[in-house]
Amino acid sequence: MNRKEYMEQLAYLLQDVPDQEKEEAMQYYEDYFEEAGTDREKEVMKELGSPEKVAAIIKAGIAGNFGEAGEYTECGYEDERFREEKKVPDVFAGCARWEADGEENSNGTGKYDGKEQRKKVNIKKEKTEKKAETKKTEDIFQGDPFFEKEKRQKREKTNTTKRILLLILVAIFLIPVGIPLLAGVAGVMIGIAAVIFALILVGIVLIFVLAILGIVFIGVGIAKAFVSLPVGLLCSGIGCLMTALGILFAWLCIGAAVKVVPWIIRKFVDLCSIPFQRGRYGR
Amino acid sequence: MVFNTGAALLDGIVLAVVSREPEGTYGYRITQDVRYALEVSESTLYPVLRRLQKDGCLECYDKEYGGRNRRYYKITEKGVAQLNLYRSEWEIYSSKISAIFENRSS
Repeated sequence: MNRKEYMEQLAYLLQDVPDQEKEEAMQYYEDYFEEAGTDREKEVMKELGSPEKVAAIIKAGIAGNFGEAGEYTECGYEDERFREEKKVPDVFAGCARWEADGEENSNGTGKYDGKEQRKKVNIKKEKTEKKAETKKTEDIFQGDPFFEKEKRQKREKTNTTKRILLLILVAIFLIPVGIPLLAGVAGVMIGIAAVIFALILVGIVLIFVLAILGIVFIGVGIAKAFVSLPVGLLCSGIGCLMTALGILFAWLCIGAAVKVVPWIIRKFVDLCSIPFQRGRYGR
Repeated sequence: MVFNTGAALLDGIVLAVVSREPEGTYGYRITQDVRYALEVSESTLYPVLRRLQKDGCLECYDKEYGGRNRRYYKITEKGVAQLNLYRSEWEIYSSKISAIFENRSS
């Protein structure tokens, strides 16, 4: 292939690109060949790669996909999407990746057989596009401790997802039995909550009653004392006792509330997360 | 070349190369200069130049040379700011790697 054919091929491949982009790209490479000079023509074509590769790179650049999936190496821009089926040219003989590929091809002369290459490249592109993501990472990072840990975490995550799905499935099947059962359980829980609430209410009321009554009694007692000392003292005494009891009761209630309520909530949460646990104590 | 170059680093290198010429430089020259330091394929540079231009870090103008038109790329103010960002990032990055390779603590 000579330069003219090369550029014609490139123009053909860039047909589906917006006119202005196509013109700019073509102009760039025309200028490039000009600068290189006629004696470097063959060399430039070899270093640019096939017209298919250049076109693909241009299109990816326009789409904004360039530079993300691949990296720049001494073999050129290494992107699985643009990998070509071509016998390794001497220039790249030092790149282990290319040699390890060992792909078959028709000609090793470095000449571009347009149609043949295009067909192969299209097939290869589809294949590698599918494999690109997983193959690349897994190959490179095999045995790497970080990657192995990530793999394990991903696996655990999928396990949890599977469990959730299983749970949902079981739930669906148990609906006929489950709904009345759930209703019953809910009823019981509401009942328990109501009882607790009632107890708290009673407690508060008791405290107030005791405290107020206590003070009242003290007052009455003092008053009575003027009439009859022993009676008055008895009254005040009872009043003090009541107040003291009220305070004690209040202190107990608060202490219990602060401790008991969180405990109840925690136990409830534990109950709900039983299906999701994987042997807390096992590891 | 053992280490591969990421997209950001290549952007920085291209900007640095272009900034060396206050009046700008043309595609072929830029490619040769970059390939002096990095062994990247020649077809790699066009999308990079195009993106930098679209992002406003480079501007183009045409100038005649030897009877034909040459497209020159020149760095803009935004490009200079971006380049300085890349420079400082590189400074941090490379010194950290050097510290690790030389077994220093920081």
